[in-house]
Amino acid sequence: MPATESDPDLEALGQIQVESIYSASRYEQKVTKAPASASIVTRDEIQKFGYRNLADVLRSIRGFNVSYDRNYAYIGLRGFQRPGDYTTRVLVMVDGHRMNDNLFDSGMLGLESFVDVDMIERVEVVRGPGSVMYGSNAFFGVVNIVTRTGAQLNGAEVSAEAGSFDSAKGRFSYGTKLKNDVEFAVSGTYFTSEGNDKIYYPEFNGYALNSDEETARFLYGRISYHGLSLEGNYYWRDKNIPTASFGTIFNDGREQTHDVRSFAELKYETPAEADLGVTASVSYDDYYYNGLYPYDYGLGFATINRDKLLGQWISPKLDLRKTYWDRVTLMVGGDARLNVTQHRLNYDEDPYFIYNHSTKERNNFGGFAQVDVAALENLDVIGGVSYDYFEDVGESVTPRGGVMWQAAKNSTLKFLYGQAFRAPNNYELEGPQLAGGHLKPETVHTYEIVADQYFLKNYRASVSLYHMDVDDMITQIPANVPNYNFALVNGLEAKGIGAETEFEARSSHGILARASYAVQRATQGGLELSNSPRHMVKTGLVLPVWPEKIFSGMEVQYTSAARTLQGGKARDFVILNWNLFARDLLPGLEASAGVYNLLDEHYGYPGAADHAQQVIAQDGRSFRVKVTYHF
Amino acid sequence: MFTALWTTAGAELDANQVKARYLVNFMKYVTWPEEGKAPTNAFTIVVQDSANLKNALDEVVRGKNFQGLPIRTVHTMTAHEFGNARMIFTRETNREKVSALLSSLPKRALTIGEGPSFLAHGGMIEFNIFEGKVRFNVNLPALRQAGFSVDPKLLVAAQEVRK
Repeated sequence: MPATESDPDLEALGQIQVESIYSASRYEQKVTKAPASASIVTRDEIQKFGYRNLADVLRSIRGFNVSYDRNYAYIGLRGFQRPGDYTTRVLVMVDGHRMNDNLFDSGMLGLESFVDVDMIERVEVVRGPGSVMYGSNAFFGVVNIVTRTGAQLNGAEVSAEAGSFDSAKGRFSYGTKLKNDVEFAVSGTYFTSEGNDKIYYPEFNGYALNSDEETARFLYGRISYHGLSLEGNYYWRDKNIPTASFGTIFNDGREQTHDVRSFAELKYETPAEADLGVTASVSYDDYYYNGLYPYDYGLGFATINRDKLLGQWISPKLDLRKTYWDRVTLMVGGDARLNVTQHRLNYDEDPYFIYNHSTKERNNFGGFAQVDVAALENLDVIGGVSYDYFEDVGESVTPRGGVMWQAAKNSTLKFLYGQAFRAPNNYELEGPQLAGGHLKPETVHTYEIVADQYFLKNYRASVSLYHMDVDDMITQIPANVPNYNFALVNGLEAKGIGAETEFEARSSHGILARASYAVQRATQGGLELSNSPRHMVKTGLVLPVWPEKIFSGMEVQYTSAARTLQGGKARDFVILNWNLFARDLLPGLEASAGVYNLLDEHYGYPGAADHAQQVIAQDGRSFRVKVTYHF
Repeated sequence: MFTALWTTAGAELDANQVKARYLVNFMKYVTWPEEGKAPTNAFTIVVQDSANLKNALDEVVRGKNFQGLPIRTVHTMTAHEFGNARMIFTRETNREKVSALLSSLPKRALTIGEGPSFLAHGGMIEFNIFEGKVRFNVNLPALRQAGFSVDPKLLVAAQEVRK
């Protein structure tokens, strides 16, 4: 073939990101049409930046603040991350399936969360209220983890990695699409880490030795034929806790949590282009937790406290979508959570004493309608409302509305209003309440303006301004109730205001540059909330070192100081991560090497009420190397 | 100079709009065989089983001419309505169905499909999604066998070329 110039038109077409987003309206739509401020992180970015887990992915996204208390990770968004809130105000989904459980409503477990990061095709993030579509917990935002399909895997993959703290991970995956259109993917992962074997805690004037160990297993499978699919996921995790949380014995080595979270979902979906779009599913979910807490009651021996939970539930779901006159898209849907088991038992082994034993199941159901009108060629208007009912709690009616205006060829403006709610979870309903007390859902009203500007065809800038009013937030007040010295009430009102701005540029040569800045202020009675950093700056740069083959991915993230629960301060910090990623050096071979917290910054996140530490110190510099072979 | 380094990324088109623009570019970069050309009053593009692509294509070719003929777009759900189409896009990925479809096509039609094995079945150009972007592969022997000649620029832009 003679040498020739490339055609700019053809090359340009090959550089356009065509990703659509599902999470904003429960069907695939263009990001600019989605009634929300949305972000997507792709598998390509996960590889090039060397993200090790979901926490790494979310930390790269503007407005997100993911903290870690050396047991669980917690998603904070737009300045809200209540200490001890096990990610109950962000809805987390895997392929559109709700992961928040039926006991704590927790959306995040370890840093990894429910799926091995290597099996993620992309992570969609929608900021702001999502309750009209998703019900409870979609309070400050929605995170949807989209897994890799059989066709995307297209063969077998083995992967091995090793890193600091004697960490190692191994994975085997296989996926394909057969001639008869049956598509399937299976994947299994084993992860182990000794953790930081010597952590100094000044609060205890000593070291926690060998008590940060973690082991996790992931199993994933999906089989589909045309619109019909069966998906299953299993996540198992053991984590030792070095912080002596909940007043347990320091440096005992036994404090540990064990979490198992699994689901199976059978789903039917009509093709995206069907005249009447139908999505129907039924799923079974399971959550098991077993916590071991050693206490010294002065008996001359340690007493083990056990905290055990078992949740099992069935969720049917049906969505219908139809477009009239090419302009009006109507969506109606409904779902339910039928709780088979909501079992909680907390007891001391010796001397035997039961603190809490609850077995009551409470169901909930809801329905919604949303209409999207393409009023003008460049103007979309949406409106929606949902009704949800929670047994023993009551009902919640939630509206949302928005105008998406394509003001110019490359400029989109979105004006959004929405409410969201969070119903009290099983833990709160079974917790201490005042005589005659009745917990009701928390609500948030959010007003937001989002501007997206594309210019010079390859740069994108986004600005978002928001205001949130949170009412009836569930909180603890001192009170004398049996077995407790506090009671739970709907007592807290909070406000959040903020602005986020982001700039991104991509080139056909594989360069990606992005920078975001978020300023936020979340307050209660004029006082800044704890664990609410005012400023966050995040930058990322991918540079091809060898075109198409070797990439350097570097990130710098600044987080300003945050108030601790006790009124102190967790100081500001800068994290620099750097990763080298190589693909196709040999056919089918990928390799990467990354250094995390390269500057060895000493930093921490504010602790919760169950911690003696005001600030939970995080790891210093660490590294990871990884090899993946595809065949 | 710096600006020239950057190309059309981030422009907000969806996958079907990008594919529609590709189809128009393919028209520019292949030359249809003269021999056996049936007399016709329109340059017909048939899109099978993708109303959204057909709509996106209409946005691009509305009111335009090609080879002195008005461009006509047709959407069909079945594999039997290709008539005298010059260009055919199919969303079919089933091996047997693709083979049957390709053997039943009118002569001198440029065939475009998607999925990982369209070329293996004898198709000429296939789309795939790579890193969130629409790319395409070219089956050069199939094009040549049908009498098409191909501008090298198309091959340069392709992700993979079967020779």
